[in-house]
Amino acid sequence: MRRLARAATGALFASAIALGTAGIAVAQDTGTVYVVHGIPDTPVDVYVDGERALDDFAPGTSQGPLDLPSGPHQVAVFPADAADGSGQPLLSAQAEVPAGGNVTLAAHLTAEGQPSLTPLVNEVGEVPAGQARVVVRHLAAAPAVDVLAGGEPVVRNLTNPNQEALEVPAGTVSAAVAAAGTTDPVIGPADLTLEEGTTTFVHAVGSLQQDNLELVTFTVGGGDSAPHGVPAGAPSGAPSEGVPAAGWAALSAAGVALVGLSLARLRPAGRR
Amino acid sequence: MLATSPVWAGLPDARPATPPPAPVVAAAPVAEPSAPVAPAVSTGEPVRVRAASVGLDAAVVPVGVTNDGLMAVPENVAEVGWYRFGPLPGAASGSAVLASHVDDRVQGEGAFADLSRMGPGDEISVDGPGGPIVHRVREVRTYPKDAVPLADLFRETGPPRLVLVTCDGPFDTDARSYRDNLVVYAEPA
Repeated sequence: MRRLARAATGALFASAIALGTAGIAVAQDTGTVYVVHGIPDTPVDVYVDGERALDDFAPGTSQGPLDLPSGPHQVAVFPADAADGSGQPLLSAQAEVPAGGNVTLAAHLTAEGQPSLTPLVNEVGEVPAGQARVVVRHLAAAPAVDVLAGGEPVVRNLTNPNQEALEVPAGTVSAAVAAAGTTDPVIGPADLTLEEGTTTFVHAVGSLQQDNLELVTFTVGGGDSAPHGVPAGAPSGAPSEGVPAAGWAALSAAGVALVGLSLARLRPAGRR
Repeated sequence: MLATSPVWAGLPDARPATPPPAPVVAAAPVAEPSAPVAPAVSTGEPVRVRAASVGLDAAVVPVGVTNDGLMAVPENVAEVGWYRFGPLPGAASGSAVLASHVDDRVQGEGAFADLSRMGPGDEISVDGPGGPIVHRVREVRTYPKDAVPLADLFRETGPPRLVLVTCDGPFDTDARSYRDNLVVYAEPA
């Protein structure tokens, strides 16, 4: 797994709004929201502004994309058998949905095993042609971890509730999670198929102590970009004898001088 | 953005006494890409491209990108590369891109050597597992390499289109490259 870009995000809480609007220039009055449920054994209903938005939301799954009006929303998480959105929720938070932004709201355990709601900004912008982005997130009751690809660490010392983004060649990678500094998986290995132009969000959730760690994964498309060029001439570095250059060979001495000038101007291009 | 104020009520201790199942790895995406490649009319990858008007009849192989982010055109000048990260020829939408070298000192004339002689109305047929997909040329254009509309050539949405790309113009011996790209735009017949 070749690492082309590396974006560690530490202070998620503080930086969420700014990052959420940074990558998207188009002003919109809605934002895109994904919801991840990473608290084991606890099906929930999710209420947004007092209305039930998700019913019987199963642990270890995600929902989305949901389009929500931009601005603040009151999010409350109740046990799935709750009659309505009144009373004392399991978790609640004020969620700011940035206009045109893309965010994840994750219900998960802290490193110490306490339930928590964490907002995370989804980086879903363009990736280079042929590449895919993977965002790995530590949302589990567990100490620092390394993320392994093909058995080799590609993200080191990731702690709850942080994330790290990688851009990698599109394809299938064998991914695993191990305690920081080790290569013995506590999750996986599992094959992740990373399609070109997509971003795959991988959430490690659950509890190491309870032996119920797992990955919750979703993929967002639309990050395609074109190659930088099409080098479609003369792979050996020289053209065929007398092919389009023939016209040039027939030029007068004055013409040849002009050719020299033209070639000098072309030089900075530097590659075919 | 979220002033998280968890108000949990005894949740962490509500754990079953029985051992939980082994960790389950849920690698399957639950949300499909929001802009997927449209389903193809053809059922698979192109294997051959033919254009009688310029004597083109060449094998097609899937290609990706080079390490420096250029389309990976086949080294064999007799072969044509199909950009496998883009739409298939015959797809319901988007631009399917085929590229091949114009020529080479060692290998001689390339599959796309005579592409510049194509004109509007010429027929281009791309063979895949589902049979030939016939296109008609709409336009042939030459661009300096620094002015090629790459984002448009490789667009993944919009009306279905076949694009053939090769090199053209004078050869820059210093850059070891032709100055221009020749682009043939064709539409499903």
